[in-house]
Amino acid sequence: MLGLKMEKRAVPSPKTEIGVSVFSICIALLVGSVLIWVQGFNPLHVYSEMFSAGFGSLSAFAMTVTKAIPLLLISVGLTLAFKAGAWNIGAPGQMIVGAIAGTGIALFLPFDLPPLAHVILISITGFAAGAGLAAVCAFLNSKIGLDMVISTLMMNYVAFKLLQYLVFGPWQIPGARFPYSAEFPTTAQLPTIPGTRIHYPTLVIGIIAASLIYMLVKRTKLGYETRVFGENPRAADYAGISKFKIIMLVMIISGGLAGLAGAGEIMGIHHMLKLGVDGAGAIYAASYGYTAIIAAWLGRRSPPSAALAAFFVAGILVGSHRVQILGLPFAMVSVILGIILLGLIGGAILAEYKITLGRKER
Amino acid sequence: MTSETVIRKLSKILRRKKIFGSLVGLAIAIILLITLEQRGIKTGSFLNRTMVFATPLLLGTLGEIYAERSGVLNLGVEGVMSIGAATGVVGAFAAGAWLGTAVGMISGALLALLFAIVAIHFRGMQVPAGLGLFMLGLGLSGVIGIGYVGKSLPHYFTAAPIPVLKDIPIIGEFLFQHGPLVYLALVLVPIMWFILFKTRIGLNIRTVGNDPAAADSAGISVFRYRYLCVILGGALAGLAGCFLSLGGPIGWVEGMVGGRGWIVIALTIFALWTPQYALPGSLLFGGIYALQFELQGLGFSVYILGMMPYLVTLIALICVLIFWKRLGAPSALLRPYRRE
Repeated sequence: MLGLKMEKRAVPSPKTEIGVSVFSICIALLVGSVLIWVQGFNPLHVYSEMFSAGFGSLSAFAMTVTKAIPLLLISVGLTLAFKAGAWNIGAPGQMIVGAIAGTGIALFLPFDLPPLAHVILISITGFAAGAGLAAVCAFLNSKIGLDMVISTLMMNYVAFKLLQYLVFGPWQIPGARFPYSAEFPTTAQLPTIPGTRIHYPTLVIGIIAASLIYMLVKRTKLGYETRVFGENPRAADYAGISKFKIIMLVMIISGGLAGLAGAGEIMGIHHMLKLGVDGAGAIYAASYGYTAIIAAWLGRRSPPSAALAAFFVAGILVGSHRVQILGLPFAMVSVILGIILLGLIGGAILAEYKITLGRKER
Repeated sequence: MTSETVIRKLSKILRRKKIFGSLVGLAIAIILLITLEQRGIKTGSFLNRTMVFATPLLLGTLGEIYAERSGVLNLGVEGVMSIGAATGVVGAFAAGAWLGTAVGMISGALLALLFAIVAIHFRGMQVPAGLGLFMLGLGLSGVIGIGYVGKSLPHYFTAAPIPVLKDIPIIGEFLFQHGPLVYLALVLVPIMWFILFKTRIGLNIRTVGNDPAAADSAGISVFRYRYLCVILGGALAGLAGCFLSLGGPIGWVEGMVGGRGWIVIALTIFALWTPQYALPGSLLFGGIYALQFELQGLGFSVYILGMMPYLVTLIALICVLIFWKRLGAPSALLRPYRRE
């Protein structure tokens, strides 16, 4: 009798892993098309609109790259955290505090700074704020065992409320109706590629960060320890690898990169602090901090492919904004991304087996 | 009896952390209520509101306790509550509040079933799968609810005071002047405690969550218990969502769950995975929400007050972790089971 044969593999096959990624994207698009069809739209038309909005023209491409910048920074950091088994779900909050701290430097410094120094100081402050918030969670986790998923998540809400407080309260421009801070001085604004909103200095930093983290994980002792810790914390303990050190390190890097992404957004795009700084529209699960988790996972927790995945996810985000104009709810993006993640997790088991078509033994 | 023995006995009681903790909690609550009374906030109405805010947390936590006791952490409660709230509204428009609740519970259970398949059969990692469920649930509820935003409900749950009992001062207002779902939640606490700790089924659930291999060799179906517990958790989270959307005339609002699903995850730990502690835990957080409501009237910033539930969650968990060295989490939590 002919059937599928399954054999256990020692090491998950990379080919199957890519296959699983493609497979979960297909499933997500399929479920998405059913939802689109139920709402009375033609799925093919909607998807082609989405695709052309995300990748169809040079200006669409530029939009996607713009959105990919924060996603790249955050998801690359998250690949490291996830490698160590540190569930940093707090990127949205870390990004927001990065933006808030950066705004503080941009607007309220008592003295003037030359352009480059100002931008660098804002970036460092943003990084430090995000890293600080993540470090608190890492500290509580390794010292008293507070679950990191909960602590980082609670911080997201606290950070968002703080942002609301500032832009509706003390930092709002006097007399203005909108929840905006004052506009940044030109010294605190990043240059963009002419004709687009791509703030290329942040993009370059993102690419450098991706390569550095790749090197850290692959080539250094610290990276090796991180991988061991992530795969088997008990073995790591026997080998004398310090849990405190690893958790602190990966959380500071991933939190800091999220904070840097926040600082990049305010310097490069908004030139002010406002509510949409975390990239969330009506659906807060669509903010950069959450969607970056999908990019990190889609990229199989490896920086170079996470960078590619960040670009792809950015395309979906841009496309979903276009789809809104057609009359479909923006929440669709969250459905599609959620199914992609569930598919990736559920499909991971396939990479552990070698599946061949063969004669079944009786 | 000398005064010395009295002191010794008293200190012995106080050393039992659970009693000590509840005494401190009760004392703080009473001081708070007296202060509020002095500021012109009636204790009865404050407690009434506390119970209303506590109910969705209680329902969600009871369900999550069962899921985690069987060894599966479902992080997607926020998404499941959201889908329950949205589909509940759709159902209520079609066929009234009770049928809406049934629809909400069923869709919550179905969403949890999807998670269960990924986490149990496919042995997927529970944390990221739960996050996927959270995004899926939030997105789906947004898609389903889009036509109902801002529409007032034709049918919703109104208060059904219980005769006689409702006239007891303070207690009556606290417990007996609510809608039916509040009573349901309160009744579920002893029932779910009894099932989990006093019956064969409960013992099996706890065994599956602590030592699935032993359970399996004793002939208990690990998969079946895990599926049932996760689905039950989903149904109760859906019910919690329905309470939010059908408890008043407003109906569906985008983002109406507002982080309660995550507080449920924290409350499950805070309650030490036991239904009986879920009640005081939910009341504590219900009280925080109610306090937030009252302080708003006294001129505090809405946004700073909005941080309170989340900060209190962190502080409460930190306190629990410092005072209890061993929380008693199910040992096989987060570990998928496979037969070797």
